[in-house]
Amino acid sequence: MGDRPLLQVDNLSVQYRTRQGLVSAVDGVSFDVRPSEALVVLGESGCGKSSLARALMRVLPRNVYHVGGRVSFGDADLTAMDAEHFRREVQWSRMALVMQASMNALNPVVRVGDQVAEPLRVLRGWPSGKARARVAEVLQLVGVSPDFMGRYPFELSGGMRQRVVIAMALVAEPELVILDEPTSALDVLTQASIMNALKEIKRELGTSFILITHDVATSSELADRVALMYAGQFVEVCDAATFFSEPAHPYSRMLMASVPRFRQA
Amino acid sequence: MSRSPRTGAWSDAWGGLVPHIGLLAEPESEGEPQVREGRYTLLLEAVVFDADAPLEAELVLYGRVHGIAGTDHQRRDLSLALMWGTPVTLAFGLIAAVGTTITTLIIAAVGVWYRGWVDAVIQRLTEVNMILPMLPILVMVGTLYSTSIWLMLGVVVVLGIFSAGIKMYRVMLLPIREAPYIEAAQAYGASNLRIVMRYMIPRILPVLIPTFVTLIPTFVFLEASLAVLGLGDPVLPTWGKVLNDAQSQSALYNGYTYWVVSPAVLLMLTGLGFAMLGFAMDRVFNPRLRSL
Repeated sequence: MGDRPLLQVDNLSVQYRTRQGLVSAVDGVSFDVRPSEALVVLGESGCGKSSLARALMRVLPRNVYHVGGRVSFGDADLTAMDAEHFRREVQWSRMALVMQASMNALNPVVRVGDQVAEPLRVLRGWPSGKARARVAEVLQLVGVSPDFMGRYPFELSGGMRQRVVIAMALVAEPELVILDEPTSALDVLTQASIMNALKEIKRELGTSFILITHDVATSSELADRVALMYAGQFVEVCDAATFFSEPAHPYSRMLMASVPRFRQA
Repeated sequence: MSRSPRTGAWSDAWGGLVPHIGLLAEPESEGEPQVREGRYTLLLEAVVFDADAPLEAELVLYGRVHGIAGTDHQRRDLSLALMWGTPVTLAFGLIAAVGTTITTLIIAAVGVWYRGWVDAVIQRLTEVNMILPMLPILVMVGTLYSTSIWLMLGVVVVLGIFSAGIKMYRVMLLPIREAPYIEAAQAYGASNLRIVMRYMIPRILPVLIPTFVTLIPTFVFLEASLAVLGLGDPVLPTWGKVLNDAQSQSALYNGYTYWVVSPAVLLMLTGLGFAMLGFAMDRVFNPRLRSL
């Protein structure tokens, strides 16, 4: 794992225009993600985690004022890339996003199979037969039977829907998947089984993950490294083992102390 | 009593009957006119400018009013006009409804998706267009330009593009624009056109189909009103034109109620039929209404 980083983010900042003036959602964040590594971005609500993910994927809301910093992905400098080039070369095919509230990220009037195939049809123009074969493959990978391809999203349980959304992110075989709170609306068992599925994918396909969450317990399942975000800045980036056992920053310590345990020491 | 058809008042001479019946009828007969038997002489006076000029004359006598729908003042079978009017009327209603609904829907979705000045322009155009009265404009076009039914159809569709429906569709599309799956579609790089046509519009289609069906009779009635006002297509037979003929021949005054009733009943049946279909479809497509 000592090879050169897959994603390198240098001094990334995102500012929004609001009625009360400018808001710095992401404020000079620098980090890197190595191939086949899972970086967990922890942080409380509103600290800029989702803005970070959106800035990386270039799906920012309309009131964005300024995006600064440098992002390079593999050999490509993403900051210098124009929108069309980015759409064709990087977006979804190399870097995919699992949206927040992804339980609702499925179009209710489109069958699951068609929906998962949609990125392939949009980006690569695949015919539906070829796309379906790939969809069946990727659904199996996330633990959904391909029999569900003909169903509508409302016929699936929350956990299944979540798996389908992850399948949608994986369908174009990206090198990096950004998961924005993928399990926040699910029960603990489902969370654990989805985390296991992600772990398996990481091991088998060598996909890198950026897992954005506020859930310390769940994130520890997958994390190789942890970045703790507070008020738009990374206050601590270190090894998962170090972070969960002896956090350095006072905020990290407070956060770790807030995680409920069976017997409070 | 000396009976002279040329000098006496018509009503007096033919017992209140129109000339082509009264001429051969028994004058004193009560109720149904009876044929007066006897010899009739037909005198033809013609002025010709050449001794060898041909002259063709034909006397056609109709025994009675025929056809299930009766005949009109020119002895044309009304059932033919009513039957041929059906496809014309339905085609007009259907094409106008399809044309206005689809264009309106696409324009509303485009405005919602692109927001900003695109939306503002579409909304202002709609508001201006909502004030413009449709029927007087059509009457103007028919009077001054052409009464071709296809031209009328074109004008109806053009005026219908920026109709009040845009406001309704916009309200329905606004929450869909913010749906997470639209955001996800942007994230995997779906084009604007694809988002509008494949993701946004299909979401409101189920609600739309019943509205669309109930819209068809509106245009059927519009076409009929134009024809009643004398702006029907001169070539095609329509229900409205039958009504127009009936009116110009004072059908009701003369007691020919069938002439007015049959096209009117057909119009009402069409309207009722589409309305019922629309209500039924509403229940199928909007399950929330089912308990009502």
